[in-house]
Amino acid sequence: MSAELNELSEEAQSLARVPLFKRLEPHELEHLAEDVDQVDFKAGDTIFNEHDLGDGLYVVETGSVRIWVMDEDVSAVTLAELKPGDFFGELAVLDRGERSSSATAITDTHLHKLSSDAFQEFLIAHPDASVDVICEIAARMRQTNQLVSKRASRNVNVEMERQYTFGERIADKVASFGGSWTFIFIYGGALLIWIAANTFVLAYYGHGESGAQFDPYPYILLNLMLSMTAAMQAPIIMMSQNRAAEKDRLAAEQDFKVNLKSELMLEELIRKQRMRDAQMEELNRTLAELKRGNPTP
Amino acid sequence: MDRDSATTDRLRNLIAKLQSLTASGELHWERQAGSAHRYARWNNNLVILGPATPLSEKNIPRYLFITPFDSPDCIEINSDDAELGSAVIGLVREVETVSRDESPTDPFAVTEQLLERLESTA
Repeated sequence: MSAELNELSEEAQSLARVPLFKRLEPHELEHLAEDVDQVDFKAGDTIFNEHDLGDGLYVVETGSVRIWVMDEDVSAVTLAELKPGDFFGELAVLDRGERSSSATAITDTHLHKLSSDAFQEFLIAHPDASVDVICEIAARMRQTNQLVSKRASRNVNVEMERQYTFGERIADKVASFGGSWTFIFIYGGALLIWIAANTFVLAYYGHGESGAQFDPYPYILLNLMLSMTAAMQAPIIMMSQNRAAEKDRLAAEQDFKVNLKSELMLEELIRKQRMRDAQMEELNRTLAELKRGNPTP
Repeated sequence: MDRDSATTDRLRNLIAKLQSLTASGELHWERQAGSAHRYARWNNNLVILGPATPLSEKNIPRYLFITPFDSPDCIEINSDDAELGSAVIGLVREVETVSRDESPTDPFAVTEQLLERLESTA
């Protein structure tokens, strides 16, 4: 097989090194090589942008490529960094839609580009390769899902919600209900009913055989119940307050991380901008000197 | 999130590298005024040791947070991590020793440089 590979054209040989095409016979590689364009990108060059029309699949021969998207906060989120042998741009080729992400060359990069039609023909002719492509897409989806949970700007409420125990959830519910107008009205209503019942109803009908009333004025049993409620409520509310303090502390930590990163990034951007300004000034000066030396007619 | 043993080893090596760079003075840590935070820039990454609570409060776990400047990805390792916790504490102690005499970064401080700049533009 290796002897046969040596007889292939240079393009077919480089395709043979790509894992996606590893199952192809030499004559198939040669045939595929006819449909593949060789493209080069310098470090930092854009290969395609999000929402561009997908015109082909790319396979990295040498160099590295960053796949990224803009998130809702208009910041670039890196989805993957691809190395030689990896392919990208398959989604837009498969559904013939727009690019779902942008691709930028990290270093000087050499790519094989397979047109949409050629790629679809290739998949139909090689079901094994189709399975490889599906596996790769699934792996990238899994990676993207993990990335979402690793964002620096995490939602503290969601993070805290995950850590809550059953007792803490109950404490929060009790504290939330205890601090509402609903609780005050219900409690006030219950007190009034109790007092009214013991003053006007049980005073006439609530006497036992010995003549004792159920809870006569000044309502000792009611006071005991109120004290017990207050005694139980206090630690529950304190538990809830501890949770709130913990949440505030986490939020402050989260803010610190994001703010510090933003601040240092801005510092770096300003420094780079000043450097660019100085370079531009230098270039303008050189240009002016050149114009003075060689005045244009 | 689950972590395999290979990843744990790589993270342990990473923390050890940070600790050795700190000890040799190649990694410069800055102190945040009024807080126990320490941060450093390392190969286009931001490294933060926190939280703000002082180290004397032993019951509050410490964390190591690493994030690249050009990506929102991040790694956070806590001192209560069963496998890497001791390494994080080791790094925290090393950084504390090294940055003890470092003057704290205070964004609200009135500096000579800032005053001169404001006066020159007035």
